Amino acid sequence: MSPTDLARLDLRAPEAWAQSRRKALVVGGVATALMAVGFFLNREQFLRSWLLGWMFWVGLGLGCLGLLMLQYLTGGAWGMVIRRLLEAGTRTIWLLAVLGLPIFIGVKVLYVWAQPEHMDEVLRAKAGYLNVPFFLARAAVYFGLWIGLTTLLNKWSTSLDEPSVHYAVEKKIKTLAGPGLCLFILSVAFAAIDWVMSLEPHWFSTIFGLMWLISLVLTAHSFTIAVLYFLTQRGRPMGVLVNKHHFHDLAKLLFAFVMVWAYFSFSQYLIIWSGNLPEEITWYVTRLSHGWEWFGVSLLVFQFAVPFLLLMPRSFNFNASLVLKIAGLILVMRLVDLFWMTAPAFHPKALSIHWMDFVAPVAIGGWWVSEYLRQLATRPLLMVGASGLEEALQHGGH
Amino acid sequence: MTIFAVACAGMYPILHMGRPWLAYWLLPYPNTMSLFPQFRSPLLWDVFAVSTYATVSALFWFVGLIPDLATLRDRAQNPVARMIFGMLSLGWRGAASHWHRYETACLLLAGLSTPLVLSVHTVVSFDFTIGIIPGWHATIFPPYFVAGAIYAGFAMVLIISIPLRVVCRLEDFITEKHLTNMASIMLATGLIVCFGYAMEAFFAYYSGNLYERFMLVNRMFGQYGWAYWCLLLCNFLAPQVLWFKKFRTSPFWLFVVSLIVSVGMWLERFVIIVTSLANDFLPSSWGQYIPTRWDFATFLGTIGLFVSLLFLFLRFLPMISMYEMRSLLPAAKVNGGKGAHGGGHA
Repeated sequence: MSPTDLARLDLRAPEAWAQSRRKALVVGGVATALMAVGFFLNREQFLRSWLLGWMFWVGLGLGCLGLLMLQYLTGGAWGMVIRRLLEAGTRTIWLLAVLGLPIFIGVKVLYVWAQPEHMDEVLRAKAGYLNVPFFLARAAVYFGLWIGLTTLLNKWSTSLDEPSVHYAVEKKIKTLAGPGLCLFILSVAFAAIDWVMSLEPHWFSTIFGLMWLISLVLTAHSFTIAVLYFLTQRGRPMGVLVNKHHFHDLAKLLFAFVMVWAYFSFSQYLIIWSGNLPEEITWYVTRLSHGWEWFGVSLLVFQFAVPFLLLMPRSFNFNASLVLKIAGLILVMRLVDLFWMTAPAFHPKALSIHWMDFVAPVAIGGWWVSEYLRQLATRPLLMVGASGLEEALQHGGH
Repeated sequence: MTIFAVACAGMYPILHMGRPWLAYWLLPYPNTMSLFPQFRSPLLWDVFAVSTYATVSALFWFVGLIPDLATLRDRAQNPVARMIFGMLSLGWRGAASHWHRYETACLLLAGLSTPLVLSVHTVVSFDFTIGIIPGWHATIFPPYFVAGAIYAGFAMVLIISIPLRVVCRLEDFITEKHLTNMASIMLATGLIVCFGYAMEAFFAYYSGNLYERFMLVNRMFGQYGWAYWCLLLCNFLAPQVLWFKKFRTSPFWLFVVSLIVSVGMWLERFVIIVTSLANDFLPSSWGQYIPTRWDFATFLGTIGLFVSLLFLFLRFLPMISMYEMRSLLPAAKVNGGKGAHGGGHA
């Protein structure tokens, strides 16, 4: 199919999705109202749950940005068909910054290191990094960087919608994507330290930034697979263009990300377990006792073993609806993982699940999904003028 | 290269044990003296990781050579050479069934080797991290060592292949595009390694731990401070020129950068091993490491062994897979795309 033929196709997001957008808004609104009630009942718990939900959706938005830049750098048919989906994800980062306001306002309630009465020698030693003004300034820098990258990438890529060749634009995007990815990785690693690791300010692990990085890539990739699946159903134009080989590639990539996640997690666990140093091991001691261990075990089974075994056989990877189910499972497990990382910091002595832990991800998710769908509808689903699109669409058809 | 490097690497721990004739004690063999290795020690995992890696790499290498060995057999003038190549080619006749099984075997071995590259370097990093000395006990070590290995490996491939393609006139086989792609991989893995340095340095501060912080200051400004700054120069600063196309496409500059990176990767090991051991928890056990002539002899000796093995290989066996090159020729594409496709995979 030539670029001019493609330009004639209706490559917009389905009309019916506008309705889903409204539904998402309603759900988000109701859940936010519930959270508002929760805020007056228990302010501490409100912030803890809000952090959980916010981290999940931030991971999704940022993962889209990371994957998009990676795709521009490496190329590949798998990414040509999801570029616009990732792009829509990046355009939600401004909303995530707004939704993060409760965390930034409530920093003194949420984080131990910000409370003078909990100060000790170690915390005083790192107060040069862990203090409220610097924490907020860093958050501003991270979001400034992410929104800046998003703006440029999205601005330049609009000219790829016309069916002609734009080598200059593509070169410009590629030139940004390299250094952009480096800055992105650094900023994401430090954001993970600030927002999650510093919940237990005595604990530290040098691999944590990388673990957070692969987690958000895993989240965004699973989510994008799900969106692409629904875009290709019921004879929609994308269904004609995207074939099983694209899904096969995306599934293989998901398999790789699952393995990297397991590799990082296992490495961290083994090194800390074998070192058995009091300042490090406490993190795992808390998380592997008082009922918290079941979350750890469920991660091992459902975020590693089950996806690993199901994504291994080649024929399973061609089964798009199975890949969708695995992607859905991983998304659920991402939330469980975040809960397992954050909640035991507040309740080290007993398992504790609050109703707001369920409501907060839904509240933030409602706003996020509706914004994502709005952004998705503003542009065609494929960059018709991108070089290599034709080959990418013929993928596996030789 | 892999096999020769593993052969050299394997010598170090064996010599290091002090009584190399008792090396078999490392293996969990049935014995009557109740000597049994400690299974919780990564040093023992190393025995398995390295020997598995060596076995699979050797198999992969040998299986990859079989069709070429058959060609050598068919073309050999010397009857002794013909007999040796004949035995090594395992009765290869180039039948369709041979190719079919061959491609499956290559794919499986490639699939097996990939995780082994990870496992072998991960276990090496565990050797360090299980020792709780500051500078060794860092959770980022596994990915950081794997990236470092790929980084150093590609630098070494470039160091060998750039002169080789000029001397042996292989410019049409090892093209500039290959070199440029290798340069990109070097840049990417090099940046991951530098991310590791950054995280180590930051966490030394962030830990708030006296010993961790001392480790960092000592690395930067202690008796071996020069090594740390040279390391950053070689492994971080120098490869940044690879961002520019001019350097990525120039074999001369790639060769220079690869040499610098190889020195940098040596310095990295020096910094990690020596600075952490020279100044550990107890000031009473601090010291300065001065290499003896045996240290130099072992290092130079293994370099010599590596180069000799490599040259022997280049002399007697095809350095570029002949059958893969054949399948890349235009004629092969016309007659059957399948061969070219399979060759690409292997």
